[in-house]
Amino acid sequence: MISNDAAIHRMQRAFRTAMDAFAHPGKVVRLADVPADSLGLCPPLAVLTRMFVDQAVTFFCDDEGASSRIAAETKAKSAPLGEALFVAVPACSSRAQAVVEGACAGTPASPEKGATVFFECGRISSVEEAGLIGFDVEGPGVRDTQRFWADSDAWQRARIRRGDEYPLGIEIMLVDADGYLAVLPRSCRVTRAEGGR
Amino acid sequence: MQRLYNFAFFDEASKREIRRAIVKGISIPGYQVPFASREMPIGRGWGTGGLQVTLAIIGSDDVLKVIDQGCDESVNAVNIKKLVSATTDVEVTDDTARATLIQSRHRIPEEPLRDDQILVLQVPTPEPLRDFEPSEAKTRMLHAEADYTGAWLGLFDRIVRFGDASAGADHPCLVNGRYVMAPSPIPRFDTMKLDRAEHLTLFGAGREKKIYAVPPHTRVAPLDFCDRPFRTESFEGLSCRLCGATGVYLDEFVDERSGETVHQCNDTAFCAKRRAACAAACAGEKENE
Repeated sequence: MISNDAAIHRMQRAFRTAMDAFAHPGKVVRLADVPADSLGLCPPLAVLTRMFVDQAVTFFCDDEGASSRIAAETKAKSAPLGEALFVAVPACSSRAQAVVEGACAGTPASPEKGATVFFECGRISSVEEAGLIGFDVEGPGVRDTQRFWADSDAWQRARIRRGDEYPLGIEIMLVDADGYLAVLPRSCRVTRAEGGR
Repeated sequence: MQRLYNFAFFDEASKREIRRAIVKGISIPGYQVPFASREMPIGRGWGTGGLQVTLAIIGSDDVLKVIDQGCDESVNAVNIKKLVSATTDVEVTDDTARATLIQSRHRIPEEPLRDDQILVLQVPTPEPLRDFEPSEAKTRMLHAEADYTGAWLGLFDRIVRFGDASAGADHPCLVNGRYVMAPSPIPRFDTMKLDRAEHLTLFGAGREKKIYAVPPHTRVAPLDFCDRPFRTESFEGLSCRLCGATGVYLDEFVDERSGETVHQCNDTAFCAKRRAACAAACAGEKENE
């Protein structure tokens, strides 16, 4: 007999959506059935946090209130930015670029210790929209070039300023309040799309 | 009292651990991500790595196919299918085209996989430098420094001893120009199916506690020397005795009665599908007559 908890299936579907986004950098996917209970974060950001964060890992959240709620619910240990395995950057963060710049890059022997950054944007889109910035993504998982649009480029400026030497680096999961998600693993190259804002 | 299993056997913390390793593996193609491998109700060395990956990602909408050395009906494949099916209720199939999730030991199916399919390969020995360096701490440093002298020496040793650099199976590959990876004991014939493939491939080594991945459209180059290029097994001039297929990986048998050497598709589902299609076409032709 199988215990069929709806929350388990919801999380599995969310993970497969996220895994698809990891395997296809720059592809905009959408998290479905996002529950309203949000750990003090925007609900899709909370889904990503619950997907990966638990007592076995460390996290940093650039929002003290949300940080306390994440620690209480997931039993994960809050860590300094430069050591945390998972980093959440809510849209309200006033130092988003600095947070991404400070995330842990891993070590040559253990590059998997490079942080995964959940970065909340105002809007992410697979089609061009007024006010959004276009980005071109190349690398493993992309046949030629994958283009997407987002309203923030703070994460990209931080990525450039970090200058990580592969295989060191961070994974950036861009998410917006509507559940749209795009992932930029360390293995991909991201440039501003020509003709983009 | 009935005992309730969590969906897909694992508790959610175990799934999170494996999922974290999977996404890091996808992010660093070919790099072996260590993970807390779980105890499984099958013995280590019998596909526990692949099984853990499958159970961590499978959902109720998936259609599962499990093969062992090209066969859907071998003991290993059947037992894994039974366990996954009993703890998920997902549909199982032999048809490669219908499957959304394919777990395999030692083969990549003959039918080309699509972008929406995921291949999970069981890996006995994930470390391509293990023959050269027994210490895990040292192989981690060798990977960190991209020092693959040991892998090249292994190829050279084969040339000296056997006159050919190609391994029988599990030929080491350079992934995305950075990490040398053991592609699991797939034959050389299958190695190039990983190069710029449409599908995502996940590798699980339960005993060795490693997960790694090759994302779609990723360069996978078998190691070779310019004067001793990588060669796949050749089946030129041979065809399957059952379906007539050519250009596929064939098993060789000796007919005990006639003493004749015959060949047959190694991928049994592919062979059966071709025969069924042929039978249907023949029946259609007879009806038209």
